[in-house]
Amino acid sequence: MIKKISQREILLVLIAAVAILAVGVAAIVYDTAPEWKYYQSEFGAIVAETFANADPATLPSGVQQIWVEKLDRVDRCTTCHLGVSWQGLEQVEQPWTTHPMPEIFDNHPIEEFGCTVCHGGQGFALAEYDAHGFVEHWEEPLLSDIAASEYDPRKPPPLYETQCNFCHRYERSTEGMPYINRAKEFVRTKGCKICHVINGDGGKLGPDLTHEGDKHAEGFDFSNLVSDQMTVFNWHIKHFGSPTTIVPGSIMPEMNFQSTDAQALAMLAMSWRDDQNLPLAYFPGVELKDEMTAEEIERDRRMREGDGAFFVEHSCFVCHSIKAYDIKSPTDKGPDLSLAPDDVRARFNKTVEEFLFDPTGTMKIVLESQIVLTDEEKWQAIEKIMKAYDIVKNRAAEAEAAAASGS
Amino acid sequence: MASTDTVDNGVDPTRRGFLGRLTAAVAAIGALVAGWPLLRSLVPNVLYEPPKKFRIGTPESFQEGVTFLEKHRIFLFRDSSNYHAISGICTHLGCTVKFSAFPLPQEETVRQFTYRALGEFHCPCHGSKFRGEGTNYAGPAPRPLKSFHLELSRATGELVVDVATEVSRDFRLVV
Amino acid sequence: MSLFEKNDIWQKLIWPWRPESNREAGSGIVANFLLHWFPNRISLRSLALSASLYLGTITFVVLLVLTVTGVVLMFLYVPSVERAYWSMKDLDHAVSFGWLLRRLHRISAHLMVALVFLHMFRVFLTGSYKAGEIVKSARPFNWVLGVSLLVLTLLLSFTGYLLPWDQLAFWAITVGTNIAAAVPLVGETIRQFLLGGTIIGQPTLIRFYVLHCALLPLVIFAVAAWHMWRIRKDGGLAIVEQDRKEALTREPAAPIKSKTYSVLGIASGTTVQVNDPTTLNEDNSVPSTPFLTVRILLVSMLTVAVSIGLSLVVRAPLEAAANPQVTPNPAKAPWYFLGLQEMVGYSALMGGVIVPTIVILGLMLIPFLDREQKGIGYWFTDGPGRRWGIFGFLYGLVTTCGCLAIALLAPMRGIFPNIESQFFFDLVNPATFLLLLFAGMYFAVLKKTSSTRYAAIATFCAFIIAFVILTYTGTALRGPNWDFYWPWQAWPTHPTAL
Repeated sequence: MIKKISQREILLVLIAAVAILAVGVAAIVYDTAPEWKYYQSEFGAIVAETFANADPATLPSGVQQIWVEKLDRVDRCTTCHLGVSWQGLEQVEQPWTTHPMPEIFDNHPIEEFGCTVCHGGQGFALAEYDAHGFVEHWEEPLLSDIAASEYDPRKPPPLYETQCNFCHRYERSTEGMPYINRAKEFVRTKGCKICHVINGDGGKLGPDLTHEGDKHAEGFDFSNLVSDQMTVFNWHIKHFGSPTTIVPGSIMPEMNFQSTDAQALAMLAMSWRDDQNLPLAYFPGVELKDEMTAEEIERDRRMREGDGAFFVEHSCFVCHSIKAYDIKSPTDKGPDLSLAPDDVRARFNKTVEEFLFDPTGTMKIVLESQIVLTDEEKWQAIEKIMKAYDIVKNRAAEAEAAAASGS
Repeated sequence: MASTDTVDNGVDPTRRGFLGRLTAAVAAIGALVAGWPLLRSLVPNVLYEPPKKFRIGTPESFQEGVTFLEKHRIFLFRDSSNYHAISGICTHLGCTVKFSAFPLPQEETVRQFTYRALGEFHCPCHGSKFRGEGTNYAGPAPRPLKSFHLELSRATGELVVDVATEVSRDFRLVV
Repeated sequence: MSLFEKNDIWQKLIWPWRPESNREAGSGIVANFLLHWFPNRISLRSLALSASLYLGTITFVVLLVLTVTGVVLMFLYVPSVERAYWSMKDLDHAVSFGWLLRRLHRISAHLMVALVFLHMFRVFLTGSYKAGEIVKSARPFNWVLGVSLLVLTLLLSFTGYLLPWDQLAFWAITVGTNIAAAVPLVGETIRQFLLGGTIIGQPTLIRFYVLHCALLPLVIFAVAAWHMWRIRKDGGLAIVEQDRKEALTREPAAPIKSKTYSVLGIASGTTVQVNDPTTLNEDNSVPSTPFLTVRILLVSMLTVAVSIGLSLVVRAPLEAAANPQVTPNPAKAPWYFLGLQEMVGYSALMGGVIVPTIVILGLMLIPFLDREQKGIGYWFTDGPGRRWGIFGFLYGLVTTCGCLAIALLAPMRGIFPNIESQFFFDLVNPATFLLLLFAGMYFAVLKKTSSTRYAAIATFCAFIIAFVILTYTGTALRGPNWDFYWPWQAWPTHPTAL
């Protein structure tokens, strides 16, 4: 007879199996009930209440993400912030509400920008605290009113303007950025560039501030900052208030910036970051176009929109110039149409009208196969040609008169 | 015909035996030869790293005193027309040192070298300290901070730092 | 399928695990690949928890957990400097159970380093590195294999540490590779070979990735297999020496006909079993299946349960993305190297090169310096052994704290301000003092007891406590600027941007 395992040992194995099952189920449950599912189901209820004919099948479900490859960001905010692009949810509370100032999406479409490039936060995350970035080791928290209230409870500064200026940096003044605009005006009027290099040029008496916003918190000396807010933002605010207090021995003059002015300047300084990787399309005012003189631009405009535009639209100008309307043909294979009445008479012994409706030679082939005009269009062409003829004749007459009186 | 029975010291003296040993030797060398490319390929010939010699700007663009070039981790010193560059990398474990300026510059003599010191260097990682000319005097750092070769670019007249060439601490580029 | 056939397949699967007779038990071991490592019968002494604490088994199970989670992670992680951090963030937030995979992999890695140390402590303290007198086993060699496995484990952990490519990873590896560079003459070459260049960059990341995922796992599994094969070849856990002694008192040993196996045909002599007098009978042993297999199953399941359970509560940190321009303050190596980093703070040569070399070499040489063969398998060998162990602990405690105090209160450069020679400070520093104090203690105990075993016990116990104290100091008591902070002293808050 063989020895058998003691029941105690089998019991222990059973307990171990139950333990594995328990922790395994706990892990699965934890992963299967994320926060955002609640927000999405609530959104369904809100939409049903607010809109009569909303189809629940069209509501977003599951993780939502905006991958802005050009900015190297991925934002999953819209997993919970479901009403951002909807109209009509302005009165609903966060996170389902419509984005305030929705006109901002006109030139900042959400697919090209995402959310965090303006608002800060941790786009990767799907849970509230992680996503809002108020976690250890995430260095770009949400630039919210709550964060701003820590600095000024009565009038929280609009911290997101710092992010606006990342792209709008070289503009003199931008609509919707009052704090930054004010700070830029200070830079112009208070002579900051005399001592500091800002945006690439300036003086050398003080440090180069071109990338001041990239300076890491570890690089600042907080030993003279008497405050519990050990933040770079606070350092700048206090430094703008009194440079020699924060940096003993500093030669920066005391300009006594206080409250909103100091905040605005701090926001401006922190917006100056390395923008080498920012695609040109994101810089406002940068247009990539051929350099043309004003005359060239005007000439092209007249060809497309002026009196002679008919001949451009219908491709006549490919072979024919019409000098009365300043239409210049690239080839000049055919004669100038301003003189067509004389020309057609001389060569074909016809009027323009007769020729156009019964062409011969090359024009026959062209008008049958390449440029097929309706009768209506032919009459338009004739009218314009006759007018051009008049213009040219008048000019010639004027020129004769001018020459006669001149000599 | 000699048989394999007649062996001295266990070595087969026949031609077959000799050929066998020769083959084994060649095979052994062959194995080494085969192994060499495998190992040598892991020693890079090209490096995708920032260049060791780079321009940092015209001499006039630097203010009097010390400028920290963050990107290169180098301290550039200017004393009217004398320039020298000291590495900002601690010789202990590679952290970036900070420059701690004196309230007033002072004359210092370190290891028989007299110079005008604007401050000294402190490493935040393990408390190493260095004099203004680089000598380590506190903490675990085993060697002084390196000084790098400086020259003027013939093409543009800018200062050129060469971090692959170390110089002694009394090196000065006179512009 | 009829009920009869189904039963048949079921029977075929089950019988090795539930043998109906001793013969079936033996056949089960031989017939089932999963059981082939176990012997037919196992002595009750070996089966007992106190013999081994099953630490080797637990360590191996943790290695398997690491491998399984590691393979899955390889599908989800990208080893490129542009994408590594992003893929880590996605693992934490966007991949289903990504958080679990990461936490489980990380906690298992830390557990494994701790477990290999504990396993080594157990093997040493039970004298299981000793060859034995009755049958000349190769346990000393197996001990050397074990120390190699320790080094391989540390290397695996170190290479994996870089992969998240966050500030912690980047600077820990900066510190670690700079310690390697402290080796005289070839140090810088070693460092550049590890890095694939002169700085930590993409070549470094891919090198560490391939080492971590392919080369080192292959080597560690090969050496681990050899390590376990050697245990079988030597007759099992060292405590079987006591079974052999007992068997000698019962009846004279008779040679058993048995095959001799070797790995590459290099082994000489006959296999252990031939001369082994151990007669495992019904009184002193049980069939391996199901008694040992059930215990192994229990230990494995508990290990897995505890690992997953820990993963539910212990988070895996991910710091800011790696930034070569910003050094975090303080910058620390992984915990198992912090004892070294503390000593490197006294002298890079001593702490980074000499002490680790002496420790590794010293560990490997233990079975060759101590050839006494009594009390194999018993913790601390015997009563005096226990007393010398306690002495070793206390001596280690006092001397380590003393050297720490010297380091903190009387730094060498302060005591000898006029000496400029770096070499002097490489020789005269608290790490050297500790080394000399331990060496002195070894010889003193050896002289007093004339026993290499007692001297070894005392020194090893001193080493254990020194390792624990120095690691703890480096981990918890060193703050920003490597300043000393008592556990109740708060570190200065880290400044942030906003």
